[in-house]
Amino acid sequence: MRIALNEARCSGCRTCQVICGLHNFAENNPKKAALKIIGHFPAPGHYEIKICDQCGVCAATCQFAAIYEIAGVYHIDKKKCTGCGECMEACPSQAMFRHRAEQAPIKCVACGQCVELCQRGALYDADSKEVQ
Amino acid sequence: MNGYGGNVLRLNLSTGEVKVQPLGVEMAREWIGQRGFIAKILWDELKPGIDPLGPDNKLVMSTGPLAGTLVPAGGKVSFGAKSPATGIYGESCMGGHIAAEMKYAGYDVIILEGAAAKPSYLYIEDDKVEIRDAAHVWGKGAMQAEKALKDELGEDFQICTIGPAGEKLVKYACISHDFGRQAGRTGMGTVMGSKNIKAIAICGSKSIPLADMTTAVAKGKEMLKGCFAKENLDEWQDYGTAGVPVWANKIGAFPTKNFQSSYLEGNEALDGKIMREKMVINDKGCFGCPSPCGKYCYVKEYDVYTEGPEYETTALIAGSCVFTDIEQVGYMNYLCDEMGLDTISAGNVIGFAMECFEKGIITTEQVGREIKFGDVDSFKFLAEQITTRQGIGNVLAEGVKYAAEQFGRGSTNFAIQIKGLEWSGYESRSAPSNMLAYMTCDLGAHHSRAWSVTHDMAVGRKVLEGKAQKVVELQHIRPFFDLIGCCRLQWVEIGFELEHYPEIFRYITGFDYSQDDLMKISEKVWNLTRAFAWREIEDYGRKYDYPPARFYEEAVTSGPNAGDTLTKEALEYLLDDYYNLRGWNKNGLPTREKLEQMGLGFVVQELQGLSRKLA
Amino acid sequence: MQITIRVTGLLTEYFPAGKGILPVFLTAPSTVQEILRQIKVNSELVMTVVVNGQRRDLSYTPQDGEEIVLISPLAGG
Repeated sequence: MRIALNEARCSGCRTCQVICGLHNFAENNPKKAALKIIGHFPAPGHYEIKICDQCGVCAATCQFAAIYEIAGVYHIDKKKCTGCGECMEACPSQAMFRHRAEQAPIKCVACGQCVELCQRGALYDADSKEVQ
Repeated sequence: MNGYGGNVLRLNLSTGEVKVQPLGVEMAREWIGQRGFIAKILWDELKPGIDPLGPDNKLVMSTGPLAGTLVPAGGKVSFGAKSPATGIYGESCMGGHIAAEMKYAGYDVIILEGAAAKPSYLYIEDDKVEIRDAAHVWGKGAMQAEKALKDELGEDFQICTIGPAGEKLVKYACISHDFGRQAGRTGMGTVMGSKNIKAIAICGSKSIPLADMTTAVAKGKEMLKGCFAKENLDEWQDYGTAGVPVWANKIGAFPTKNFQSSYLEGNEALDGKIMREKMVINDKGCFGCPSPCGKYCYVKEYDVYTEGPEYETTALIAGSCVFTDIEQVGYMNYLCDEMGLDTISAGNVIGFAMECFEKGIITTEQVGREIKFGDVDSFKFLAEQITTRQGIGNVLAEGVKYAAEQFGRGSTNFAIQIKGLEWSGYESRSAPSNMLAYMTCDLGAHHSRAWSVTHDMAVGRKVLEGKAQKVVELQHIRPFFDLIGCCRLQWVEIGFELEHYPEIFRYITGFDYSQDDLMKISEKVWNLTRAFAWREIEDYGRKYDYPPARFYEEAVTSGPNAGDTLTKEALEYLLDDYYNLRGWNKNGLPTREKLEQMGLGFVVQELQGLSRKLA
Repeated sequence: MQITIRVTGLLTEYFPAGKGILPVFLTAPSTVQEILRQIKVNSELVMTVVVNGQRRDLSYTPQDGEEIVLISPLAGG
């Protein structure tokens, strides 16, 4: 799963965030989602999607070797993470998030649940569909 | 409690006191949420006869147990209070994201009591609740104020606001949210303004507990995918309700020239396809919506951004005030939204004023200039006069019923309202069931509770038999969605099946209700809001359910239904049939037997205490 | 020849087969409008006709074996 974006199609419904929290934390809490939708209203009137593109800068930044890679996807080892937040600062996509109840930052592990429920194709799998 | 935020937040704006009380299980089980909670709280806590714009009125904001979860479009919140427009039970619902946000902050209900001494806004971040100074946003347009507060507080806050019309207590001021969603009807923005509250800003970080998470998630996914698979989804999300005006004209139901006709010459130019080509820049959805109907527009001609126009806005602005240029309609939509005017009531009132002017009932001296149908400057002038309550605007700001009483000279006959609420966007002389639906809507002439034009067409537009039955049924189904915190449009517009809802309701809340059980609760609320009106108004009943004389004395002037009218006898037949099916008396008032059967014994006691004569 | 008809949304209530599929036998090629008259469905209640995923209108003449999906009008709220 290589998650890609077509922001012009985003309707801002945030279903992606709800399923993300449910799937990865077993909580009905989109505030624990590993992606964020930002509305730009009233002008210019569109949505921006913040989600990790698995570039690996976070892993390279982490002093505690708490971020590791499996098959091109970066995961956080919650046991090793101290919550220092340096990875969040370094993230070029601003796609790592903090929740007050969690010590470790929250980042996308490319599970693809958001893609499954994005009717609009604003989030899609670039491995199975051509880049738009 | 599963499915709920779990708390009731109560703010006394006069004293600054903030109280958080847990939501009771009995309250949840008996009244479900949202409109159910609002009706029960207003019944319990408001004294009859209070001034709707005084500190004794309460503004109740509430959402339902499915909001904020993985269901299709669980993003609805309602506001309720004694309505300044009608003097009876008032309530209005909107989408966006603030319903879900309330729940994440831990609240199902927010009750505003008293009135703040100076312009203020509410700051709610989980358990941190503050009444803050709003001097810097007072006077700003509804969307400008939302933007200013978002910039100040951060993107994570969901904010609802009022515009200048709410501040000035225009009787049909709306509450606005998410740059284009409004709780428009019955003057809820007016009540918010009377409390000196410019905005409510909420940010929550908590989880909503679910009774059976695994099954709820599986069922939620199934429901969402069921919506994705609907054949007409593409049509719906391309045009939203903007696809409706041309059809409404084709079947002769478009409220034209202050409801003189049901057909607008040149309506083809208002079509959603044309709107999409000319103005739409984004399809905008509310929380969790699988079928986004928000058409976010940039109106180049006027250099403004606006969400919509939606069907109802087009019906009342383009239809009632006679415009056939969609960009002009978009601009007037923008004006109303920023000023914080409900586009339905504002379009209706302005159309009425234009007709009064045309007929010489009001004059250039009174108005301050000439006004006429189809003129953007006339519309803009009147909207601004109303919002600032200047000149004739001060009369029009009270609503069409009051304005007609002031203007006299027969204008009451064409003041298109019921119970003081301006009629929404379907001319119904050729649709008896729909006429009855608006006549008996607990809020006044509004489509949210029942809308049945297609039923009239399917079983015969002149037929009266069986029409009341359909209205009663719809008055339970449609407002049922306003108990659970979900949008009804998946069911209404793309044909998503109703039977899914009781099932996911069970997985989320753990309450095991059948569809019939849920409809019974919806009926109980219906009886309660009717009783609320009777508690307020001693002679309440049948005479409050008639439409204006135009609908039974004048025929439709043009279009496919030219010549149609509904006789007074037909209206009597519809009402008799309706009251009978409801178990109410001939005067349209709930009987003791009916109230007790509905579990509303406490209503019987209180009404008897006020010497209301229960049959 | 035979075609099948299915409807969505509000229309299911007034359709002879409800939420099911209605087979219709035709002796000669007919437009959707004519077929609706034959099965007594008010064509005013049909906003769009979809055949094989393509939007059509009431003047469309279905081919043998095609499934016609009738879309209900939108209610505008």
